Amino acid sequence: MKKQFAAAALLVFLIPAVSLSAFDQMWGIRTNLGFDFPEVHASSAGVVTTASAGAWYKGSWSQAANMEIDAGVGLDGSFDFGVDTGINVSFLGYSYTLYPILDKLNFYGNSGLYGYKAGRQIVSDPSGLIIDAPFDGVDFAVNLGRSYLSAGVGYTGLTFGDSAEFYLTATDTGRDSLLSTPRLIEYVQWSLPALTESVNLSAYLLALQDFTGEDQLAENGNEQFHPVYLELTADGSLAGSFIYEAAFVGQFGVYGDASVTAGLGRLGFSWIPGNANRLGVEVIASTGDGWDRGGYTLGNASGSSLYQYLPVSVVLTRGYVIEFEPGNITSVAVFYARRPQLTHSWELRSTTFLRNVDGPVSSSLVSQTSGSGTFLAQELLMSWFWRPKSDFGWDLKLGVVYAGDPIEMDSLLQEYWFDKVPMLFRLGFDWSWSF
Amino acid sequence: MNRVIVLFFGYYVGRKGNIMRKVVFAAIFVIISTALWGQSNDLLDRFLEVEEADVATSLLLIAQASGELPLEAVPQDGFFWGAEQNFGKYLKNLTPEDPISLGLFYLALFKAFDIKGGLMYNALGTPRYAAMEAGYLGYVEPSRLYYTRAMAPYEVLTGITYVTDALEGGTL
Repeated sequence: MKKQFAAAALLVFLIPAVSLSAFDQMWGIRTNLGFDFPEVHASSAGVVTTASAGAWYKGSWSQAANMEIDAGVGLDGSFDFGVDTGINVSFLGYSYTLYPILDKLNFYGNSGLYGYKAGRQIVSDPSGLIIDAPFDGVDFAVNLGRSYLSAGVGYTGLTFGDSAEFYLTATDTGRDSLLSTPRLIEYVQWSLPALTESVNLSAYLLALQDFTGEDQLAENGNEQFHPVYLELTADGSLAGSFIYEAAFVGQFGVYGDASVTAGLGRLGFSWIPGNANRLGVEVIASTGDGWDRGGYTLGNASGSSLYQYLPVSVVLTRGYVIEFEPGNITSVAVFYARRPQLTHSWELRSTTFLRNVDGPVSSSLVSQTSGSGTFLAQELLMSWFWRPKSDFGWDLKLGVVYAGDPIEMDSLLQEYWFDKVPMLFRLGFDWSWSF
Repeated sequence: MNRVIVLFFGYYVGRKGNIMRKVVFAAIFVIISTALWGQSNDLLDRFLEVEEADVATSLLLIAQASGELPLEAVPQDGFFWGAEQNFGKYLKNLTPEDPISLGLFYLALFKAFDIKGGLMYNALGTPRYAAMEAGYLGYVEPSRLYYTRAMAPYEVLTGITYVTDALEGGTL
């Protein structure tokens, strides 16, 4: 065991040391700091802070031999406030999670015809509907002329859980470990760019095997989940100023004794008159099922057939005041974005959230005892982005939500606030500096 | 005429990835628009024939494009000019024939044309920050953004064209 640890430590130090002799190199530092207020929970609210700092490095010996590292630390914290029985607001304290980030530590290259990447790397599907997370593995790609074919295999159990954000079962949410749940992932992607002037096509198949141990399963009350995803995507532009995307995912799997059949579709259409304006609509709809599954992630399911769509990692989160993962949700968004100058832009977005089945969604504001109904929330979001310098920028967000019956708080907040005015707001500020 | 060709060349090289096309268009560009930097066809022909752009000729082209050196200047003049600038300390360990790095080239180019950048570039002005500025402005493909790498001659011409074109209000 000591030898293995020593070998791993040597590798970690050796790779950067070797990279210093790389013929060409580039590196940089990224910092990010954000505040959002209020993050509303069922019985309290908080000022949420998110911060991260990291460094990246690229070294290149030749086109066929390169390496990259991307590592840092992240901080998720919250200044929490509560309301007591006298309707007095009190400060409950500051809680935080500090976690390491290691998204890239790999070697890669290509010969024009073939390409490879081996080591810690980000794996993502073409439409961002299934996975966007690091794993340790290999990716191999081949240029077939008009199309590209790539395939990969990797392991998730050595990635850091809080930064990777795998989010499938109760073990993922309840796991008391620095590392992610052990899983093996294989994928194949076929891309056909420029099938016609207005159509790009891709097909993506991902399979996942869950190796969660018996003790973890018992501790968190769930089963192993072995899903397969099939994604088809078409996108392109029409008449120059119209762009579209259509993407569909089918999810099939086995969860203990239950079978899982689910899916998700996304349709997006934008009109871009000139370079400074964009008017668009985006519709996302996914399958869902009832409370016999327990919660949003897979726990002790009582049904033999489950239908809620669950991506492998946190992707496609929609909503700012209340964030929703895609399962069991239909969202319809209309937005207008304008970039009057190169240094700043703004966007106005209206999103309607509907629950497809009277069952769980990702927000803790919707519980089994919450009201029933399809309408979840109507959000209006104003965002402003300012980047006065190449290495410095910040954005400001202000969102307002009109909440439907399924969204509830605890008795005091519900009685004195939500029953009278079923509205929530959220103000956020993000600052980034890269150098 | 030169203006039209510069715009076309800048657009074409910036949007397409084929290196051979870049070389062909760079050659056409040089033949027709030598008056742009007032340099002789012979010098530019020799410059384009080598695989890696040398420090002296690259700095000469920058200095002539910015009006710092006369048309009859030679590459050695470009090297001496560079050594006297505020980025001259990065030339101390170089000879005029050494290949110019991406970072040093864009540092010299941005300094010569007094182009401001990010907070750290303005404060420290190192070759790495200059390369990052070039990447941010879209002058260098992300996959080839290494501040230490040697530049091809057509990349030097393209870089100067980007900057002179931007100063004239063109679209990159």
